[in-house]
Amino acid sequence: MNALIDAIGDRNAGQYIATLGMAAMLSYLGLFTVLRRIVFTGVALTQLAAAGVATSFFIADGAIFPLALRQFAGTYGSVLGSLGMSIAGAFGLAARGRVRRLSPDAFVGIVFVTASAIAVLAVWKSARGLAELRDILAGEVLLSRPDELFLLWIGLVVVAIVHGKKRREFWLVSFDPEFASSLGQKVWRLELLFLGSLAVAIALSLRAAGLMLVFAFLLLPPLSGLNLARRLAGAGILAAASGLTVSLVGFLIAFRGNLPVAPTIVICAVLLHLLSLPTWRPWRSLLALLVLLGGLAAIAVGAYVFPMPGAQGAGFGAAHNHGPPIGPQGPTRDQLKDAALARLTGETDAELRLEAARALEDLQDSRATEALARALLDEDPRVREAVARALLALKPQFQPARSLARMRTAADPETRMVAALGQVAMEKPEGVEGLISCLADEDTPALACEDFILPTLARLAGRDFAFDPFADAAEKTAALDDLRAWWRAVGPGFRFPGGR
Amino acid sequence: MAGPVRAGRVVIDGARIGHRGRPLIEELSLVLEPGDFLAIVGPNGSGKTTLLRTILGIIPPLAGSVHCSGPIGYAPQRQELDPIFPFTAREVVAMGLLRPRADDDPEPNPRQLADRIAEALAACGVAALADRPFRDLSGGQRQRVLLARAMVSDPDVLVLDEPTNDLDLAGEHEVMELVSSLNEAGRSVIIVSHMLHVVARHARRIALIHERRIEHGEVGLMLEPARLERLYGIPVAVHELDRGLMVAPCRRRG
Repeated sequence: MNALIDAIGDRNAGQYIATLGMAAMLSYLGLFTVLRRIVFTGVALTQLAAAGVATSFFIADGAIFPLALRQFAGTYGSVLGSLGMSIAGAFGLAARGRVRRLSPDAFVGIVFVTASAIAVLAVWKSARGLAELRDILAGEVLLSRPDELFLLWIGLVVVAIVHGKKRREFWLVSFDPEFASSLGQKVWRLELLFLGSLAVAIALSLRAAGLMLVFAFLLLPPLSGLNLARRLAGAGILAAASGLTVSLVGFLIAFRGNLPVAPTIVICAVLLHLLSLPTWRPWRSLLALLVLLGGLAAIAVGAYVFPMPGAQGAGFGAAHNHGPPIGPQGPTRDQLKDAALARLTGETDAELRLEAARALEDLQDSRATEALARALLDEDPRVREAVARALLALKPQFQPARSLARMRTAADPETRMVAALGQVAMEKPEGVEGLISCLADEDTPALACEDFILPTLARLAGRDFAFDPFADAAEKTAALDDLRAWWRAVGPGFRFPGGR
Repeated sequence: MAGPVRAGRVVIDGARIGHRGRPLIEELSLVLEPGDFLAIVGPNGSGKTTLLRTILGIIPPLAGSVHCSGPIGYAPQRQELDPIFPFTAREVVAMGLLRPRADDDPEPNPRQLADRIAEALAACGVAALADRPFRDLSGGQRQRVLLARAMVSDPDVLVLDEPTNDLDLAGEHEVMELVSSLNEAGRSVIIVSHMLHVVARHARRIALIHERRIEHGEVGLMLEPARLERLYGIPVAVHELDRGLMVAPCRRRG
């Protein structure tokens, strides 16, 4: 447990606590989807949210769209896209009962396949390609930005308030809509409100947790809760506790085993569900108790690492907010990371920058991706080499590839360029495409093309390309065609020189 | 057991009943007086449930008017409820209290609500089952719980959709005795049923739906062999017994 608290520290505390919030809320909402036999509706809403995110990528990267729209889509598009698509889906699904010729399953199926196709097509046509689709699927709990987590919390609180006020009505409408109508309840409105709350929770969780984890939370903890409890209230508590427990255990195993968090949590949830299947009563009672304790432990860890504003070194959980000391009186691990990050980007002495890059390779930090990518523009080749090594060595649970993919949508051409260089350093083929895009982009500084992009491409191809950033448009186009022809020829099976 | 007659009165005046613009019953005029017990009978697809839904205000009449004075308690068909939900009998009955409140209505006292639920469970003879899962109950017990849910808001009119379907003889008897006792306590009752012998024994009036028309009147008058033969298209015998009528199809001779 101490290892987990150490690993979470105050760097990942927000992400960990947000995961707990998502786990509890989605597990509770999942009770509805399981009991109403609308699990596939949950999948369809999740897929719609993913299609919204993918569409935002397509717009952000699409040269045919005005720059202002692209920038807006790059900044807010994923949240607005996922919210918009899933809420529109909730409207459609709430109204499906009025379309008699279509069975509910068929309607949900149509929504699902349409959303899936939109997601694939939109990502296919965006510059980031299928790597981004994989990221949506796998999620990246640890790399959620504070603004995304803030929005997620607002959404979860709104959904909690709606369900706090209307949960009895939601259960009534779920169990016996005709009786609800006879009482004067507006069944269609309640359906819409319920599906809307589900859509909001899914859409906001999707960007932080990914499609797989969101759907797993909607399905597995509720099933475990229903297996372990005979009554609805008990099932609700145990479903939420199951979600919290598998999050805690999943985080612990992921940090210990150097694994990505989301799939680890999913496997934990599957195992817990399998454990909940035997019907021997003492076993279920014992397991229910353990799940409750696990849920409390997860909350306790969250409270312990909770970053109190202005409570540096003191207050609730302060002992671990800065990690355990490296030496008896020495700096903490997080302080060392802070110092390394500061040196890498701000130090004038190349030796110190080199030392900082090497330190970051050892220390590992979830925030290091962008700093390391920017350091790829360092004037000293030794620093650039060390930085590339550090990027390649970053732990998968920090999901550096996804950070770089995000940077590729930035409005600033230099950020887009360093992101592509970073992807190349991480041996991602989309980085090569990114570098070619940067060359084609009028906004990319000509000197950056000469100093960084062209040497990198020459190293990869083993030959020079006749691209001159100061040449006229026709010459540049011809050189770009040559580059693209090379990449088309080698791209599918490309192996990076000296790659792993 | 007879109690003071309550205010429940249902007036249907020149109504056309149907769904999605498709009329199922034409020119229906019917008055259910307070304390009355009306059974609605008709072949499958004749519009019985649509008529109930119109009386409940779930769907509007296509023409004419339907008016009900006093609150209505409703027990829908038991088979429609999914047994996957792990509600207790008490939780099911509590659903009957979820009528939308006006903005100026005071927040109900939880203690009083719990008392009302306990009273409704006791009135329907299922107080001992309050904390049992609804899905684990027998068909008759479930129907009693649904009656308790309909009763918990203390309605003047009870509307029941096929309450004895799929019940064994004892269950059917228990449920109908309970419904009769609630009627004798002053509540008006409207029941939809296929079971002519059941309604013949308990209802005071019968409404027969036949070819988009409703004929209604006293049980003895309505349950005539010729009328029933016209309704069902087969010969039907009606025998008078000590305690009510027995209705059964006849085997055609020759």
